[in-house]
Amino acid sequence: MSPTRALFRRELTLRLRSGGWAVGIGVLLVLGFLAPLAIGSEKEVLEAAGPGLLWVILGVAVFLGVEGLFEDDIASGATDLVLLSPVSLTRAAMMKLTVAWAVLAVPLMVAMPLLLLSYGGSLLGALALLLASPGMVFVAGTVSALCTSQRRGAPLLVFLSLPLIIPPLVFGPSAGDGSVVPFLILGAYSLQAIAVCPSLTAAAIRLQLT
Amino acid sequence: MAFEMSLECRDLTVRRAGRDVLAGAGFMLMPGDALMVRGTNGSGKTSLLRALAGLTQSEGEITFRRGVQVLDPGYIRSEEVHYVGTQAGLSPRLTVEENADFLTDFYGGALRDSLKVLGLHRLGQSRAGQLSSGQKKRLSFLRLIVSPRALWLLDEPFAALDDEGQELVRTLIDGHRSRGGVVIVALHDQDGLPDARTLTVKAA
Repeated sequence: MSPTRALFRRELTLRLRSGGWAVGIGVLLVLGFLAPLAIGSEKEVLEAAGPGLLWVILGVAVFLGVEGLFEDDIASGATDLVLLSPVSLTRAAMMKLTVAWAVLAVPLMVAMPLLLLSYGGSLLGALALLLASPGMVFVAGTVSALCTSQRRGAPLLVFLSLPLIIPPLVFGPSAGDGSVVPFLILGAYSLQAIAVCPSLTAAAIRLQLT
Repeated sequence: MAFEMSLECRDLTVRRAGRDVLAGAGFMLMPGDALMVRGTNGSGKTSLLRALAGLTQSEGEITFRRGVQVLDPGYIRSEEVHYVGTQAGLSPRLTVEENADFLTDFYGGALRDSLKVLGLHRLGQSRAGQLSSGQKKRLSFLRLIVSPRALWLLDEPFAALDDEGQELVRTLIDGHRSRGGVVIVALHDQDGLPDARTLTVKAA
């Protein structure tokens, strides 16, 4: 088995075992079903506000889901193992972010249609989430690597990452209006994040080690 | 297999936050040599090991050689260096066996009866986080057995170990040296390796 695959398997086991997957879906379901208590349950209000509201909640769910993603590895010296191996830190970061995305996004993809249906929104919103979620997780993951070993890392992560997920916030809710543009933009957002974020994350981890 | 790597280090300096934590360390180690780095707490022992492993930025000259041929430090660090620090990269949430399987796959070695050699074969199903500090220390040496690498950098290898464990480490180190490996250990107490050289570092 190659070193990358060994890292992948370890990461997947750890993410599943630490219950990180439950954070995202928990936040989304709880906030999603509580919000109508605050904004009122009229059909028109929910249909108009629903998709936008859900995307803001998605953002928070993703941030909390990736918080402390690199903390354990840096503290336990697992990052040293990677640095003293043929696997580049960028590759390891890419792998870690991919696992974080899979573990976080799959439950979200299950919960999102439920919420969209109860808000009377278009189910195409779930497709938009599938397209946008890699970008959101990779961007938030990079900020998470920068916030490692900061006390109060979670609020810092939310404040710093929110501006970076503006494209999904703007175009996510309009998915399902009959235009293909939002999907293209969300896809592009994720592609650029996948291209840029792993090396930025590796640089952030190096910064933490010195 | 025999290792043929030698290591020369000249005027090695490590700075942290604008202050020297290690100043002007120098030594030369041939295949089969061992070096004990001694010094009080905070004298830069760990910094020296991490600098040799390339995990900390440092100034000065670190040269790896095979015979007279100078080797690429980047390649050597990715293939020929084991660093076993106080935090050894074990995952507390994984069991001993899962940790062992990961390390074995990661280094592409063979596990065989390595856990038995380390005296951990009865603890296979325990989470690494539940082990005592001595047992964790033993588990951290697993990589030395499953993956042969020329240079071992061991930070406090005897700490928290019982007599049997310390004997085990000495056996591992002797075996490594007899194959031409180079060992550098950081120590702060009276434990020692027979016929190893000593480098004393002082807080700069």
